[in-house]
Amino acid sequence: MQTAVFNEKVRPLELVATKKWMDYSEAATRLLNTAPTTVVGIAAVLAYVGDNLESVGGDDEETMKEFLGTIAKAAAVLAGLPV
Amino acid sequence: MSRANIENTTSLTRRGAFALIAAAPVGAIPIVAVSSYPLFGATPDPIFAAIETYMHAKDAAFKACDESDNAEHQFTLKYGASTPDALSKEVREKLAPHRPRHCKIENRNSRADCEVLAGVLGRCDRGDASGVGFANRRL
Repeated sequence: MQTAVFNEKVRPLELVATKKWMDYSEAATRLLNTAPTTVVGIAAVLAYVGDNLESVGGDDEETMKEFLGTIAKAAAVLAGLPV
Repeated sequence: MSRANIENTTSLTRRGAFALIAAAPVGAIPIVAVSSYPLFGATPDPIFAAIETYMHAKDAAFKACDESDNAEHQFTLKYGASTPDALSKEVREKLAPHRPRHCKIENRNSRADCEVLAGVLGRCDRGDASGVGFANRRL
């Protein structure tokens, strides 16, 4: 009986939460790997990531290196520098 | 999943991004020859869509986790454990003071069998290996 209740009331919500969490993780990866194409975009993403450092993986050195590399490249493109 | 570490976030729309930049302290954003930089490309900057997608995904994930946590909490209140097993809350509460860790009963088949099993928990209390084995076997 407990299993039936669990499968009806709890398990589906666990599955939804897992799926949403994966979507969230993918969105974070996409955010950090999207190269801005405007100066405003660079400023916006730097401000946003700075304000949400913990949730976007700011404590992970590799993640931040990749993010900064993406931003540096985007800035170089906008500045007309060789990439 | 827990929301213990969830921080508040501010909403950042495209308009908000501009406001944010406008509010930045002088010097925070170099204004040197701004006119020579493309403020707006021919196509929309994909970073704004990425930020908005991220914000929505984050909100949805935390909302789903809250709902899941709440359902699990309600289940725990009703049955005395966060996952189902053969014990009722009443039996679990009765066993709690005596239950050594390895005497935890986790079969999901027969409540009656588990209640019978509960009668031999004294052997586990004395560290009797055979009692432990009996308590851990699947009924």
